[in-house]
Amino acid sequence: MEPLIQAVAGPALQLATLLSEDRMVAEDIVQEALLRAWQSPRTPRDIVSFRRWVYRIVVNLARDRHRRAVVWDRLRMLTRPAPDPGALVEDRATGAVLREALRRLSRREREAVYLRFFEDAHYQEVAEILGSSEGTCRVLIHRALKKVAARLSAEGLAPEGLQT
Amino acid sequence: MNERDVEQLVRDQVVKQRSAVEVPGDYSARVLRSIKSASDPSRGLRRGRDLMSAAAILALVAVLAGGIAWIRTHSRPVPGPVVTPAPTAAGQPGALTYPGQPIRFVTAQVGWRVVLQHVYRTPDGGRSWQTVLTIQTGALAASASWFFDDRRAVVVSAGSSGYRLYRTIDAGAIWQEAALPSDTFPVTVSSQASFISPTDGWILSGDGPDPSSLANVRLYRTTDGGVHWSEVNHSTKQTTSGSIPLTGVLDHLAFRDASSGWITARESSGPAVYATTDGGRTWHGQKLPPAPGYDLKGAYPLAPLFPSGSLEGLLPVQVWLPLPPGSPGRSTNSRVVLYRSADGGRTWSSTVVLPATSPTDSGVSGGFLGSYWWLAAWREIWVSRDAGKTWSHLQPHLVQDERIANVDFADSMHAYGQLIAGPATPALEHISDIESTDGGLTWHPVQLPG
Repeated sequence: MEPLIQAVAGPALQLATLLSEDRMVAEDIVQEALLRAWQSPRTPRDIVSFRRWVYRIVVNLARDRHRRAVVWDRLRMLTRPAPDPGALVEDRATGAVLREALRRLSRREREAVYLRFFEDAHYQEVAEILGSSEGTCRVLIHRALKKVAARLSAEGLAPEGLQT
Repeated sequence: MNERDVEQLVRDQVVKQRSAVEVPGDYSARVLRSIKSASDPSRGLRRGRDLMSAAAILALVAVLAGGIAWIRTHSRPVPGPVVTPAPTAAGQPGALTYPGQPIRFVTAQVGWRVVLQHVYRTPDGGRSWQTVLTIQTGALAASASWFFDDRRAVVVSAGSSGYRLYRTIDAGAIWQEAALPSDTFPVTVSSQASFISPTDGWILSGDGPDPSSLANVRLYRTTDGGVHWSEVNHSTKQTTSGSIPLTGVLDHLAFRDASSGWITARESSGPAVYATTDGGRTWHGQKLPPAPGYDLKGAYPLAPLFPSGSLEGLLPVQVWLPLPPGSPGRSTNSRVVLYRSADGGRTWSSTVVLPATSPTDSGVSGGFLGSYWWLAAWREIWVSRDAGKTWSHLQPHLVQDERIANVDFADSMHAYGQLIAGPATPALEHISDIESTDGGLTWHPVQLPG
């Protein structure tokens, strides 16, 4: 399984970081995910299924961490420093609004969006990783895109005709 | 701005965020070292003891809470005569090449077990186990193993220096070591290698971004236990007569003897089977009859299985049942469609669909003891006493959320396996070793090495 782990560890770390927004937590998640994949007799041995399998564990572990961390996160948000107005203007052009719009999505919407666009995965693949139906994933992503569009519009970043 | 524009913006943003996450060059190696450390056998033993304690408590609760259910049990089948494998039989008694089979009994008394980089052997039906091989040189674990009888075995390990092959012909007293072909990557050794003896084996090697888009596939053969490998087939996207089609995902490689072998694949149209009758030099497609009532599109074909020296074999194909329109979630409900061959695998027919009564998205394990055949998946075991012609269904006594995996019968009454407990996600499940002495109906925890 060593070649499989070598192929998947890096992307799994990137996915875990996007989902957890914490590099240290992400490293823990990936290590635990790959260890569980290593030890499970059900782990697939071809690269496509293996990657999907590991991503699924990563998503589950990130959810678990999120549930445990949610109280702390609320407290931390209260003490977050106010954004620099100058930097905000600059960030508009660099995608900060998009980043923030993605952060404001629901947990499930974020998972679906990241999995969909992380490696241009098909809806079916996203559904398999999330343990959901393809239809549900389509709805989640559609809803997420509408929310992002609304956010862009509110920030004056979308031209006329924005369909939200 | 329409949704497509927003989608493109979001896609670009996700790619940008992904790129911003730096992955150090040595990250994979560090993770591998951590896994190796975490999988240290002594730590595993402690975990095993914890699991055993938990399993013992669970078992006690199950006994107390399940008393009524036990009394009400009415469908316990009358066991047939005990079937035992022929002692020290030549060839492959009951050998399966499915991955993840941690225990293999080749006679009623002699069993082999692989745990990470250790190989154990019992000469007395599991009462005692000896460590017969510890793979040292940078190896992470045994990737695949073939146990032919009570003395002969082949183990392939993956390590930092590539794949290594170990073979013994004297019950593990001496192991000969060899390398696999240098470009053997990214094959899945457990399912894409096949050995019919400690000296005769084949391995598939493919190169491409992933198994679904291979540009080249090479089949290597050894007749001296891996000391030398010769390329017997080289196939590319340009399909020619006798080549291995690269139109799908190649799943399994299996040989019945020095001439006859199969590659199973998943293609867009469904499962595909390719056969060779000249030791792998040329390949041709085989037809699988339809399974009435089941859509084979997306089905997962396993390896064809033949008891040593037998013309009777089977080919399991796992199919997933579609969900009713509008149903939430994904289908975890599968069936095992069994194809049977009575002519050494030249033709496949007599489709049998095993009547699963519960979701089966876990792996399938199985094997042979002469004409006693079994398959196990999720919470179900099927057994056949007539070499796969007819099958009967066992429903092991398991509590909710428990599944069984990697079932291996030492004889028709005595079996080992693994109990998977907890929610059906790899992150949350617990695995422990179990044993049955009543043909697979009831199971109890067992302390096994490793």
